[in-house]
Amino acid sequence: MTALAFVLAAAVGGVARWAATTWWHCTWQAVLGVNVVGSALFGWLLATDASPTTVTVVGTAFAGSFTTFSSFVWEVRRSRPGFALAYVALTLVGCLGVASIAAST
Amino acid sequence: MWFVEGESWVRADAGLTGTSWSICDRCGVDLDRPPTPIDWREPAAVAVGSAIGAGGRWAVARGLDVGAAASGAFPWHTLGVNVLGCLVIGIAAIRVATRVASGFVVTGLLGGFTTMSAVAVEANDLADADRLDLAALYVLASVVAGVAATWVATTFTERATASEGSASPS
Repeated sequence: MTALAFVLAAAVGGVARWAATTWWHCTWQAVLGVNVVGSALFGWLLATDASPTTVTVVGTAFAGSFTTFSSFVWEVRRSRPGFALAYVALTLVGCLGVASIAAST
Repeated sequence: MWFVEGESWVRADAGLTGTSWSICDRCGVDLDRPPTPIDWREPAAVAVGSAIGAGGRWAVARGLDVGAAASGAFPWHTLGVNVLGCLVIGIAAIRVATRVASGFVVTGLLGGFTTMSAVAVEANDLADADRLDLAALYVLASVVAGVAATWVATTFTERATASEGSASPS
């Protein structure tokens, strides 16, 4: 059952990310957005008394699949050097910041 | 992957070089893809790819069993998964031509395999475990190794694509 829930949650997370990057006008903004939202979700999940199964399904599968590192780095790779630095800083501060805040609530 | 070139859209596999990338004046990144109608096979491919990719990431975490970041263990499994994904996206984003195939490989498989939320949570866990040094090293290593892997992959893929293009009869 956990395996089935894991696969479904990962598929839903991936499609939600696809929808964001497809319909939002700038890909880098969509990638930044999903990464920050997914990090907040995962951080918040660990602050709740969620069972290990819930953490695996909602955190590892859904939030893990919703967020992406490869597309983030791809956006960095094809940006101008100055913008790339700002984008890295925005993503790291955003994701680590919200995860830290969410985990401590 | 699509890029803007003048008034027309060109695909990345149509003779891509670094300088031919057309860039958005506001943000320094290319504009969104051409306004083609949605092919519903694309989100279906993304769903299948994401499930397989995330399953692979989970299998790596179980297989390596490096321990919880909350107890101060360095998250080698996530770092490895992310750097490997960055290496492959450098090839796939240039070589994979159709949107459905790109949805499966780039958005699905690689997007599901790699993760940013785990990086954020694990860095936070390391910091909470009084290993701020490891947390900083982890985040820095992820970005530097990831960008380096993508840079190496795109450089070699562009070179290989260019030499194939010049070798084939026109």
